[in-house]
Amino acid sequence: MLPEIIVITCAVVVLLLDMFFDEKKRIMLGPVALIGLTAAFAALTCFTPKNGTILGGRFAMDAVAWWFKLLFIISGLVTVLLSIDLLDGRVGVRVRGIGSRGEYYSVLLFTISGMMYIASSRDLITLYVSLELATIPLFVLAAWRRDDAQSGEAGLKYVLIGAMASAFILYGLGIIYGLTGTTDLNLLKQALKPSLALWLATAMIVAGVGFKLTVVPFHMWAADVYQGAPTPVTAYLSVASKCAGLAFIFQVLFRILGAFVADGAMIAAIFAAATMTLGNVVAIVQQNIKRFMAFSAVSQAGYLIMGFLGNWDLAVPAMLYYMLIYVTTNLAVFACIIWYTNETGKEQISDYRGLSKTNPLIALSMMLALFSLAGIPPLSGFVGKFFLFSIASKAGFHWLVGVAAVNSTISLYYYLRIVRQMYIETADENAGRLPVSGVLASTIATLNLAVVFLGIIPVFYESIYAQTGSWHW
Amino acid sequence: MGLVSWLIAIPFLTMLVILAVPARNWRIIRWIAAAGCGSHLILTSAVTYLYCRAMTGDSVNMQTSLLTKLYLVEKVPWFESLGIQYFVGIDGISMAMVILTSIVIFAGVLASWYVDTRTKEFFALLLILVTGVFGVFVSFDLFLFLMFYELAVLPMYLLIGVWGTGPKEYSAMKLTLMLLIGSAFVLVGFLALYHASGLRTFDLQQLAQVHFTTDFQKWVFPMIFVGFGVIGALYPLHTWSPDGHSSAPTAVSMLHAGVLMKLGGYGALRIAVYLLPEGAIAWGLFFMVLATINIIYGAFVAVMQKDLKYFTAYSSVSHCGFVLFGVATLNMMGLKGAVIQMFSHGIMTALFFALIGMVYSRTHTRMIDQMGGLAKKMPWLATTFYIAGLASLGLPGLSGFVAETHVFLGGFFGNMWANTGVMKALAIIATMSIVVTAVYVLRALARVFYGPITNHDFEKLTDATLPERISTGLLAAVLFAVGLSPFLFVNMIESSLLPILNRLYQSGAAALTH
Amino acid sequence: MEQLSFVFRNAWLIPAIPLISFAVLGLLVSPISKRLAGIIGTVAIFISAAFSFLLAWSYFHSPAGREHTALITWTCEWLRYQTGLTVNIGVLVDPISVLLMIVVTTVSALVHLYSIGYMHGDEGYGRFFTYLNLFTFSMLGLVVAPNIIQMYICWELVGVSSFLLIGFHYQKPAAVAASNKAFIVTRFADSGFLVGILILGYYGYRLFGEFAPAAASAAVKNGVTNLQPFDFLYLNNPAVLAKLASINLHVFDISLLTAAMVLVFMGAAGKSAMFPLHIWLPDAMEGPTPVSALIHAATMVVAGVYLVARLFPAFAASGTALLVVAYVGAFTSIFAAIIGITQDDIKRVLAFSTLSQLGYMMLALGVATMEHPLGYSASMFHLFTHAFFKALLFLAAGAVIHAVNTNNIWEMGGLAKRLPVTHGTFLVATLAISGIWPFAGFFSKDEILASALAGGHYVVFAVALAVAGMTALYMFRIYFVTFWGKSRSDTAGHAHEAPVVMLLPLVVLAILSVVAGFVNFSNYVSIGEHPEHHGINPTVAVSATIAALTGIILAVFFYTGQTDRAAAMSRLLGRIYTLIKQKFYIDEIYLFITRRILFGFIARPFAWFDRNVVDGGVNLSAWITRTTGRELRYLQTGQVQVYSLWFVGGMLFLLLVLWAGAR
Repeated sequence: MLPEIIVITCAVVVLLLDMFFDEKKRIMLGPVALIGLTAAFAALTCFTPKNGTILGGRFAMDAVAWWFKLLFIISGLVTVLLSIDLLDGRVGVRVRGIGSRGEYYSVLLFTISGMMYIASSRDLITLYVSLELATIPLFVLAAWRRDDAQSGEAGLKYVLIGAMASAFILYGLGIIYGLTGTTDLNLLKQALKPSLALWLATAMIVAGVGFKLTVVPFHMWAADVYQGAPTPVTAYLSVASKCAGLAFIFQVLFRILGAFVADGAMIAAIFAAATMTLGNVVAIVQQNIKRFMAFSAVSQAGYLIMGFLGNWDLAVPAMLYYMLIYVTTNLAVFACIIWYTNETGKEQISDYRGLSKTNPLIALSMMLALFSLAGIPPLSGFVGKFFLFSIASKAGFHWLVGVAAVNSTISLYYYLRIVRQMYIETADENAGRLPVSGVLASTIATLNLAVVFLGIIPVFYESIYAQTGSWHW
Repeated sequence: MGLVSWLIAIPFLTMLVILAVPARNWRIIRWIAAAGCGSHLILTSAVTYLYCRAMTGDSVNMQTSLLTKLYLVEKVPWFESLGIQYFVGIDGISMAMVILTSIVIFAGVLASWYVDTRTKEFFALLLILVTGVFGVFVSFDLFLFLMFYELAVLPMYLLIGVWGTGPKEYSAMKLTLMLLIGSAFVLVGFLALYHASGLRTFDLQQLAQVHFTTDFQKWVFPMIFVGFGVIGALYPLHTWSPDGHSSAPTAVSMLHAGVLMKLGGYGALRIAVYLLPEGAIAWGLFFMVLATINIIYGAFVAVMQKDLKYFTAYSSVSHCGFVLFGVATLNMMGLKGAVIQMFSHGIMTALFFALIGMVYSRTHTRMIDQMGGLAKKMPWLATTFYIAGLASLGLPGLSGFVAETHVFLGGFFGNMWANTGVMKALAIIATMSIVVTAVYVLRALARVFYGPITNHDFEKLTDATLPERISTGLLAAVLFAVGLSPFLFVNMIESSLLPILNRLYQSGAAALTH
Repeated sequence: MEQLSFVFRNAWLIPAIPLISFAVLGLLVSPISKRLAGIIGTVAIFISAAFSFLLAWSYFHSPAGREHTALITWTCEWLRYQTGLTVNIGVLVDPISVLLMIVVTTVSALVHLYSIGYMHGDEGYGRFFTYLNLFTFSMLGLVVAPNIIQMYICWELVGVSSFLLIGFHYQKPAAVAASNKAFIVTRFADSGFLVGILILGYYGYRLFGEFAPAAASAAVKNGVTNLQPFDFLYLNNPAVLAKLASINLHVFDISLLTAAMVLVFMGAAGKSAMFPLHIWLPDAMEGPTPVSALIHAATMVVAGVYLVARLFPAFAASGTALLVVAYVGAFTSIFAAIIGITQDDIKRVLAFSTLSQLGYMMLALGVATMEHPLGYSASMFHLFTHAFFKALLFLAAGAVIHAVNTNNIWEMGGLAKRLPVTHGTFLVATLAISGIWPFAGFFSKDEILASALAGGHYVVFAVALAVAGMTALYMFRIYFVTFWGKSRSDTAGHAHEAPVVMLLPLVVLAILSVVAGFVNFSNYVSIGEHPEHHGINPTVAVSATIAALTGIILAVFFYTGQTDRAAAMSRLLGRIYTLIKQKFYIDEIYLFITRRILFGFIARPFAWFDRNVVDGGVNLSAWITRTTGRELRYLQTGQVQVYSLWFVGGMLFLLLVLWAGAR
């Protein structure tokens, strides 16, 4: 559990430094957080075995957990990179009331550690606690812009619904505990028997996780929170908290409940169809780009849960791979959005008019990322989706494949709306080239390389498949 | 990296080079593009030579084979665990299509010699598009196929949206969405094939050895056929084409009508009919009826058009009907006719759009009744335009005739499954289109080029420039080449059609027995 | 069979030479030097004319020629539709193809020569000769076609070259309209031809296995090694035809063969401008006069007759089809003759006379049978003679027009002394076409009438006789009006004789129109086992001559001297006269059908349907999606209570499904 430790210590260090540093030195905090996360990344990739347990099996490592942690750390890293400019005020348009950096980074790091624990915990209690650790700091982050009413509203809504979701999950876990008398995930499966209570528990847990995954109809919060929260936080929410939810549902479904859910596939199919369709159809008419991205995220969740239709040996790798692609792609889009908001403070889609003239490279990378989200080959988004579709098809849900494919066409329609603004519409006369900070530029570049190559170079999927396809429970 | 990969790579590399060049010296960029496509043309002719040399030897023992004989094959595992591979090669049909594409893109680059707004992006996108097209024509792995297919479709949006005319955003969006909806159907079909085969492979050759259950074929075939039919302008899914073509810039119309619409026929033949013979047998007549509607309906609608581009677009709808008709006949002549028609129509319509673009750039109108007497001022354009027109009304000596007679005979000869009486009737109805085609082609061309010069601004118009002459001359020459010596061409594709037919007969005989 | 001599083996040169010169002219010469174009084109045609005379000579002096058997002297595979269905282009040498080769090359050569003078100073001079060469090639290719596909190919090619030449002065709207009309009408006819080919090809292919061996062994003496279903030698095979004729379609109780042949005849009727597909020919006179002479009088328009002759055994095997030919021909001949009497444009009168004469040839074919093939050779004979005197008429008319710059005969007059040569040759041709002994027309008409009588087709005979009279009438009408009396316009007053290069062809043709009749034709051109030799049948000859003389006398009565008898006559006839003068309003009827019915009732609704219904559907679906989005957006109220409500609802639904699924 070295990476977790590193992350937590880093979080504490940042907090302390924030206390002792004066304003000028606080510039250092961002880099510190980065170093911490990089160290964690190194620790994970170099020193962490892909299996093994400690604390008497309460904390276990396996390939799935490993990949999830990788995702969390990556999204954390990128989020920090995306936040630095905003927090240090290297922006074109000042945002009032961005709180102190130290707290921001430490809170961020705490959520990351929490998420990392979700993937590894083998006990209902640690599972729940780590989930809360991952969630509660997010409420704070969402409301970070203190004197911005929207941000506050976002935070409040997030807290209320989030609390409700957590409550549901807690009750669900509670019922399961009540039914079996144990909290050890490995023992629960044998102990459980199908019963109405179990269904209730399942429903509650799934609903609670659906909240994190923004599955219809538990997605409602997303639009407002995404729009209100500071853009880097939105980016983080859109990827990390989804990963967390997925990790959690993996734990619960695949370890305990999966065996009992009779027609799970059908349910997943229904929810998938509903989620992607609603997300897409509503996204068409959005004007604010963050809100728009919220619904796009909803629809992406819809594709994601198609994975639950299939056998685990295919589903798990496909979903992990998709998550990997989704994280990079979505962050790539958000990187451009953040940059643009930083420079202009504008959030309307129509504001992106003529970007291809003023900043061709950023326009290009944004277009690539959007196309990848829409699932256009040869970008990675296509491959990721294709594998999920393939699972649905294998399970015989051809109609769902059809719905999904048509949906991705619809999604192309609204992604093209932005492309159209950037490429076809002409910029205003006075619009000049906007400055790009080195950090953002490099981040965007890296992410886009990932967007392009994750799909073309097979090694990523192949290794995920090799490690997690044979994932035994 | 083998020759076939180079076929895909050259446009892509050219695109990269173009991206490297600063946008301000657009003259250099177009030269680079021309050079790239020219070298591609050379490579293509080399590949053609190699293919023909290898093919002539083997075509004898193709008579009973169920597998397409591929040449210059390259097979590299890609997503091994899912049996996805990079699998490219050349057979007669794809050879023909590659030649077509290579010629059309070369002509297209020359035809868009005077694009001076955002030239860099224009040629870059054009070359991406072509990369995709070449990829589709040489890939024998369904995943790869689909990947290239969508890659080929998407650049269209920007190409039309940025450089187009008229309601360009609308047309561009309509075109892109309709085509991708089509590919959505195709995707469903492919995945179904993949899982039904139980082989964990997208390899066309291996899938071709699987016998899918009749019920399965009966629902997957229409799925795939309609999916490809959208891009093949199958009635009533053709309406993206008039708007798209009329809004698109010259080279894009050329490539799109000339090549992309052929992806439909190609996919329908190469994948739908080849892999799902029983489905084809079950649905053949249905799609034949639709294709007949295409032919006649498109022709009649074309009669009414006032805008040269709409006019050509509808005539394309009519002519692509011949492709689908030929595919639906499910016999040697029909299939062969379909392939020849793909080629012939590709060249012909590319020529049409090139010329329309050139005329438009001079007269600044595409309205037929605003022109007149242009032949006096631009004899070259008039002559080539008439060559294209005569090819499109199926004049012997030009490629159209060869294709159309094949298709008519194919329809008239029928096959052993469908009601031959109905097929004969449909063939005869289709034959009537040669009259309507003559009517609309000659009326429009006479209106544009003949008669006294109506508009005095036209007095100072000039004839085609050298790049334009090369571009149009090349295309016209190809029309003659195929029309005068079809035997070269026919022998090239025939042996590659045999496996498709053999599969049809094999499973068709089975279908007849029970 | 004996080794073919040099001439036969290289017979393919006859069409090839014009083709080469066409290519040379089109690609190289005519852009560079116009005069050179004219010379090269003309020389090329003269060469192939010489060659075809050589061929004719050696053919008719070869054993094959004496027993009228066809020879395939050169062939190569052009296109394989599928195994056992191949098109071998080649050169078929038999009496009628040789005959046509002579006619085509001779007339074409003379017309080329004539055009050097006639087209002098025209801006499209080079283009003109290019097109003429293209036409000559296509026509010769059609003539020598050994199979029906090559026939169709060249058929279309002559069509397009005629199209190009009619619209040669493409800045004249009338010419453009005429060219389009010509192409589209013939195209319509050809669609029937094509369907006929489909039928013949299909059933021929089906029966091939059954009959090929016999047919092939029969065809060996024709020099055919691999017989194909499309070959005439196969399609004209009696056994095959008998089989085809025996298949009943159960539609109007006609046999398959009849259907096919009638469809083929539709094509022939289109080319040869038989009623009701004749409408394009009069308008085609918008083309330059040499073109009218070559294409629309001497050669292309007889392609239809040639096609029927080529497939004569097939037509004969289905008696019905042959009757159709006979009656369509007869009707056209009298119909056109009637109109011809009333027209004022000299070229149009000649055009209608061409129609009428083509009808003559058709009816001659129609009354012939395999047993009594007299009509067959009579028709070919008339084709032969007609080519010369009709070409002569046109060229002479061209010389006249060249001199007076008008086509209207009422603006001419008194040209006899101003244009002596033209006048003389025109007179010869007029006598020839009127069928006056010893001119060529007399003999061929005589044979036709005789064959009609011998065949027992009395109606046809009567019609033919009447037509003979009318022919004399309208021909002498224009002759008198043009050349006699006083000049009715000052241009006619100062007309000058054409240059020698134009007069030379006139003289040559005049000579031919005299001597051509003395050829003992049916010795050379006939069909079937027992060709009939025909001497002059006195009754027929006398009656024909009487009819002709009556016509001439009427012409004299009406159109000589300063009488207004003609005007009085037309006033007397009143309505009927206008009806005839307006060509029975056939064009108007066609216009109504195309404009109103085809465009108005089919094309326009289709176009509307496409834009509004089909495309509307697409847009509708897009609209629906957007609207749904707009509506669904209102679920997003922004109120937490609503959100949580949905949340709980979703949870309960989930519970329900799980619970339902479990039991």
